[in-house]
Amino acid sequence: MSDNVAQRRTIPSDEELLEQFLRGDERSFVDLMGRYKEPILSFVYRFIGDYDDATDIAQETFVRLYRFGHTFKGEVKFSTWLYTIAANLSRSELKRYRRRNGTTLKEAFRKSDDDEQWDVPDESYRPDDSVDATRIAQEVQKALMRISPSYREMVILRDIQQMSYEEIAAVTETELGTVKSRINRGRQQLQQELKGLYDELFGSTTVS
Amino acid sequence: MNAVPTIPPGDDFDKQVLYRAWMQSLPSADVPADFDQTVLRRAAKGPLTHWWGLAIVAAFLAVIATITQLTDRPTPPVVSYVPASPLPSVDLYHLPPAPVVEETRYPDPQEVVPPRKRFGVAGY
Repeated sequence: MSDNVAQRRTIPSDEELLEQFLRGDERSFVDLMGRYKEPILSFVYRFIGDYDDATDIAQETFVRLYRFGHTFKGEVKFSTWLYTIAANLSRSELKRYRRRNGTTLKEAFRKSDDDEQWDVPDESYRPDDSVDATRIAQEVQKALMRISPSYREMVILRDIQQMSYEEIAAVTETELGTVKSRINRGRQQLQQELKGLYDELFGSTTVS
Repeated sequence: MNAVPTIPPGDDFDKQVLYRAWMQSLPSADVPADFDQTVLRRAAKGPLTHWWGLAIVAAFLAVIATITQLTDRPTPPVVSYVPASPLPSVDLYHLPPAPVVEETRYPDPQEVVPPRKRFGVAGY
């Protein structure tokens, strides 16, 4: 037990690492990047569905951290702050994608709690075999890309990244009630999308 | 014996469990080997890119200003006929004689009275 306490003392928190980095210790920045590059890349990949774009956005997230780390005021957890940057960059990328594909911004980002289709789901998505090797993973990712991005973002943060509702509200800058309702609707949509796979694997008669 | 009733699971209980299991078992995206290096390179390059952007904007503005100066000639003034207001005509050959005022009186030196000396209250 005393070992654990000693270990905890030796491992600096994210905020401490950031502070050290801001004092000029570049090594602390690399350590921070080491902690978060995989979860951030995974989150962005699941959100936008393209591995190369996700890598670019994840890298840009850390570039922003490098340049604007001094703007972190500690009002939220460091991880929440970092996810906020990644989520904003991902949303911007989706906007650019919609513009390139002829959907107007108004149509693409009509954000209303009652409006389930605030964005057009991506029907043309093809899973990236280099990330999702198994069929189940591919089908789940395909289903994720078919639900609207506002739901997708929150479902990923909740069910894959295991964030709390409060953290998701902070990352997405959305009311707590809206977060909960969107996660519920997103799960329902996702289960509907995965019904075929479920029936195929376990038979359609087992559950209604 | 057991008075506590069992709680039946919802219809889609199995599906929800499976859905969550699938979501949580999704693999993490592999981070490229050069991820860190790329980030550090981009972070270091950032301000330079910023200056490049400013330089490009400045050059563009300079080109626009030059083109504007070259093409911006002063518009020639439009001369329009403005009729002069009629002046009173003067007959220079029949002018009336100008009055001449000349001092012909001889100056009288006695008229100049020297100022009287002033004395005290009783003195004259």
